[in-house]
Amino acid sequence: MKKIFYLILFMTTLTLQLDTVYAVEAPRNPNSAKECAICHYRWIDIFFVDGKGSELVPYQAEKVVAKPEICFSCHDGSVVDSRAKVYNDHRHKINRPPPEYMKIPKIYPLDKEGNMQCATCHTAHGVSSEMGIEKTIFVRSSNKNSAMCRSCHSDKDGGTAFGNHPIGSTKMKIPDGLIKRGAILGDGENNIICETCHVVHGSPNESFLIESSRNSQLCLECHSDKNIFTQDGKRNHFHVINAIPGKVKIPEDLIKKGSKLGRKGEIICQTCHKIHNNRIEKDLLLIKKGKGESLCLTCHTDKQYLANTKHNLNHSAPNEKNLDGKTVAEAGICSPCHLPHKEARKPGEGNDFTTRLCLSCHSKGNIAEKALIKNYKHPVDVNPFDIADTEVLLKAIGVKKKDLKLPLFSRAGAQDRNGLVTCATCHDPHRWRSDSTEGEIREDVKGDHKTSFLRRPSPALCRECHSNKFAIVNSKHDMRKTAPEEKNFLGQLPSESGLCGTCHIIHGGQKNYIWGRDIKSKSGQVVQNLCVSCHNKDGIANKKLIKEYSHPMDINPSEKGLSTTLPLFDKNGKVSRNGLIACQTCHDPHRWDPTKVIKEEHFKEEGTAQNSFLRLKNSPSPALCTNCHTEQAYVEKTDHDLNITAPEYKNNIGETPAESGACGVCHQVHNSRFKFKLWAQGFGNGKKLMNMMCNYCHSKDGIAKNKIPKIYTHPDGMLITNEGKDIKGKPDYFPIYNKVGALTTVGNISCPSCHDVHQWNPRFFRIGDGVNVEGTSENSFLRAQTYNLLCTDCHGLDALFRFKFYHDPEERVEKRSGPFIPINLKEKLLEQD
Amino acid sequence: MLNLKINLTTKISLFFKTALISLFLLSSPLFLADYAYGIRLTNVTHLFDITHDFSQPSDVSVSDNGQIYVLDGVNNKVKVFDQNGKFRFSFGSKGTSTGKFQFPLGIDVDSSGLVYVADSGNHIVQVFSPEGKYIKRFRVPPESSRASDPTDVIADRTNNRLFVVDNDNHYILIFDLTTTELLDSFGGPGAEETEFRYPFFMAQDKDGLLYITDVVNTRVQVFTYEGKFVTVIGGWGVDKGRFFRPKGVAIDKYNRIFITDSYMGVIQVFQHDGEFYSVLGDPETDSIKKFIKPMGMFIDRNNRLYLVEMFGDRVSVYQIEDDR
Repeated sequence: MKKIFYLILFMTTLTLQLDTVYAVEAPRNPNSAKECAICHYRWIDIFFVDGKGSELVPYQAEKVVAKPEICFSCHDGSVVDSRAKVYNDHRHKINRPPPEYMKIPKIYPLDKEGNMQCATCHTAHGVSSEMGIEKTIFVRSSNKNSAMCRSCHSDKDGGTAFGNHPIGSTKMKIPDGLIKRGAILGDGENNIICETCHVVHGSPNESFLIESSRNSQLCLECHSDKNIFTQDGKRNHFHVINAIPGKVKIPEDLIKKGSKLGRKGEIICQTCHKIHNNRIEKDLLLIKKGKGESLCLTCHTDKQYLANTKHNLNHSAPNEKNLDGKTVAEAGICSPCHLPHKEARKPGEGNDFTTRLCLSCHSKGNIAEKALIKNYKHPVDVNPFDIADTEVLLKAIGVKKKDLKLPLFSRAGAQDRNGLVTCATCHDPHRWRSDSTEGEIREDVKGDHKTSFLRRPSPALCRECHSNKFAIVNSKHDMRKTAPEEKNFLGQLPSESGLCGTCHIIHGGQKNYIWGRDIKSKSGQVVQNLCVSCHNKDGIANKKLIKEYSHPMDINPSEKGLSTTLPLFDKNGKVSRNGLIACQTCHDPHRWDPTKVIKEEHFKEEGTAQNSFLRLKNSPSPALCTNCHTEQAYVEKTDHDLNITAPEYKNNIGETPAESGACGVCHQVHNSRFKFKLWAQGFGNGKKLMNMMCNYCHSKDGIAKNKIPKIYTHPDGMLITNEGKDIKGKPDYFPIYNKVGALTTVGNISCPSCHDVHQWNPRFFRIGDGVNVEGTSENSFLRAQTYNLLCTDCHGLDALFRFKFYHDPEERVEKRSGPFIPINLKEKLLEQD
Repeated sequence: MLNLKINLTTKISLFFKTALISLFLLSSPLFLADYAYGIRLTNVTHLFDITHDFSQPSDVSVSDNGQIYVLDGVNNKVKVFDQNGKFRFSFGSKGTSTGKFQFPLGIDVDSSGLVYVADSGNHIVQVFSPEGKYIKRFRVPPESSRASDPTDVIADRTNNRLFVVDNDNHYILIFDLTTTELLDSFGGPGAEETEFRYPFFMAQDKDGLLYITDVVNTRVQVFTYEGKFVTVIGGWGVDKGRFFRPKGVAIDKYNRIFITDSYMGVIQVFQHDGEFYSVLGDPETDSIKKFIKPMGMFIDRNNRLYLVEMFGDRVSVYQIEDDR
């Protein structure tokens, strides 16, 4: 009985509690008719009248008509398909309260938790039904001209006066393309409303925009005049958008104020502009304009040092007006050259925009006419890697593409690693000197290699590209060391011009190699003239003159049947395979030692064949000479390479073989005493020049005194002809020389008729093995196999076995029994028999 | 004042009702069981789920060789799986040109394996090979000036008919399956027999009868393949045999009619004569099985049930237990 009492008490209490809930939640005009309850699920009879659930579903006590599940039960495609537009997480926020600052008008009810729901904006009772409930799912009030949006989002209303994007009619035509993409206009022409940019449901973009603004696209639809690209793809020279900032870092403070970046960190319109709730600047900028300069310098902090330079037109040209008609005082220090959405200056002549911008002032008739570039200048408008000379020995660029730190620019003026050299590659027009923030505004003070808006002081600047030329430092050609008082073409001392500036003047040099010194020679060979600028009798290098008997120049090696990988030059100084030999063919004026970079001072060092600015090391292996003279290369490490057989021996200018190189022992490349073969030794006995050259060493006082033939002459009066065997390169080549060493076809033989002094073994075209050995009839510098020698023509095959007869009197024919009969005559006699 | 009266009356009524319930509870131990178990359950055993980055899929169909075709409409794709639910391939993308979709809703695979897609947004039906190669498409004509809204399609090879639901215009259109020529149509807006308020999905039984969910009329109407009215299944309400949002319909091998209710989250089973038979149950809990917004369905010859749960972004595959 007691249990029954408690149960009745419990159920009664429960009922009263349910009753209380129900009373609070009870609709004002509930109706269980299907037309109502089809959305008002709670009004279905069994819930509303019977207060219970069915066999299929539990009792529904809560109001659910405004829940998204009810809406979606029709908007799933079965009545209306709002799947993609509303139920794909691209809908106006629901199930959450509006922001605290937002006042929601009472006609837009929130649910009992204060959350926004579908029914906050929508109601089935907004307008009368057309044919039934399926037509009545409308908004609670008219959204004409976005009135409904603005009633809640009042902080976004009011246009620029309230820090928002303009709203209402505008002179600007709203593009048809934007309308096709879903933009809605208000009444009248070009009437901007919220829905011109935003949609309530279905946008996958931020802030329910009809297009994303994270790539500036939405803004550019209307503000196409701000686009950096024209419709035909040309570059407008405005502030970049949709580009990832390089050196510029967007300040955190700006981000906190609402600055936005693109998805990959790009600068977009909204990086500088905040188009809603912007109380900062009337142009909806995120930065207060102040005196004009702060706007740009907020991000471009590295440009602030412009202020105290001549490029601040406040100092140098205060009355100059930009294309917007404003002076620097009116529009700020950046404005003479840059306006964010307009061109500030009429570009000067040139092919790339960066250079043209510089020349807009630095040209005749313009404000920087005084700083006009005269004569020849460092190349611009070229990609340094495109023109990098394939000639390894003369390569202009010593840095790899990926390592180049100086900026290159596209023709449009954007930094581009594959771009061109422009003025701005070397100059930062915003900073007078790279190693200091100090400026210079005095008109009479000219820049030097440390200032002049250079990105680095010279020569460090030059080194960024031409690092391969910097072996010149501390060499004889480093005029800071060897000729500190010597002035260049512009009258600058090395201390003023910098290392490179002693010979090359970047702006105002002379044609070819922007040469910075007086040219004395008129040889017609440009590169040769450069050397002669100093290497002349009145020049600073007058101790190193090139006199009469020196290696020939002004010829192409091919004329002598030679080929080379060394650089040849045309008359204009350009490297050309059809060019001529010049000083720079063998010499690299920037590098003392071809095998290594010497950092220490070495300008006092006397040169040898191992250095002396030679392009290739010429001792002990004669790599330089043999680059052309390949047939003479085999002398190396033979008995005729005195590095092997007489390392202490000196040539006639006192050089040991190590100093002169194997070739230099006998041939003096510059300033030889003798024209013939540039002979570097003396002459021995003999009637013929060729023999005299050999006899100088092969004599009793010579270094080859153990190799003196007893005889070495062919009997006089017996002229020999080498017809058919006078073709160089053939195995039976047998040259005959006249008395003065010239080749002839009829005469007497001399040492080099049989001997090739540069090749030990005629069968092996290779260098020697470095060991002094006794020769045989198969080597001994003989020109050919003995059976190929001309001797057999007269002396028959016997000569093959009597090869020594030429040097041994006992073997001479006249000492042998029987008359000497030339072999061809003998054969004729036999035929007669 | 009127509201106050209603509330007072309601309060009194509820008090007495509750008191009566309490007394009944004391006298009858079956009270709870009557509510929880007083309905026949047709149990289904869960086999596996198919999930493949679906975004609100709507319909599923299975070919005779067991390939499962899921219409992933918001992604504008048909995704194809083998009989074990392993992904094989997909076709389609968003667009208006051939082979592209604009949020399609219904799919059917005929006995030869051809795939038919009711491309609602493009107002067309598109036909594909079993491998998803585009074959043809044809326009579903508008009614008066209102564009058609094809939400489902059935290819009837036996009768060489193609049935298309025009949801917005409340019509069913009958095409020649071979020529795609429009042969006939029936329906129209309204709540009477043969009238519809948003017909949505269809199924066809072995006898050729068409079962068409009539969403806002909260019923399923049955027609012959020639479009003659046969009967109505269900009606308004949340009791057994009634519907709040009927959506999907499928016929099992015993010719029973399975109908999803997307809001109540249940699937009810009806006998061939339209009488309520049971509701799908969960054998593990021995209670009504609840689904997350159940939509399109397919039942294969082995009485496997393939169910699209639109909010669950999945297709669940069940074995229908034999309870006959």
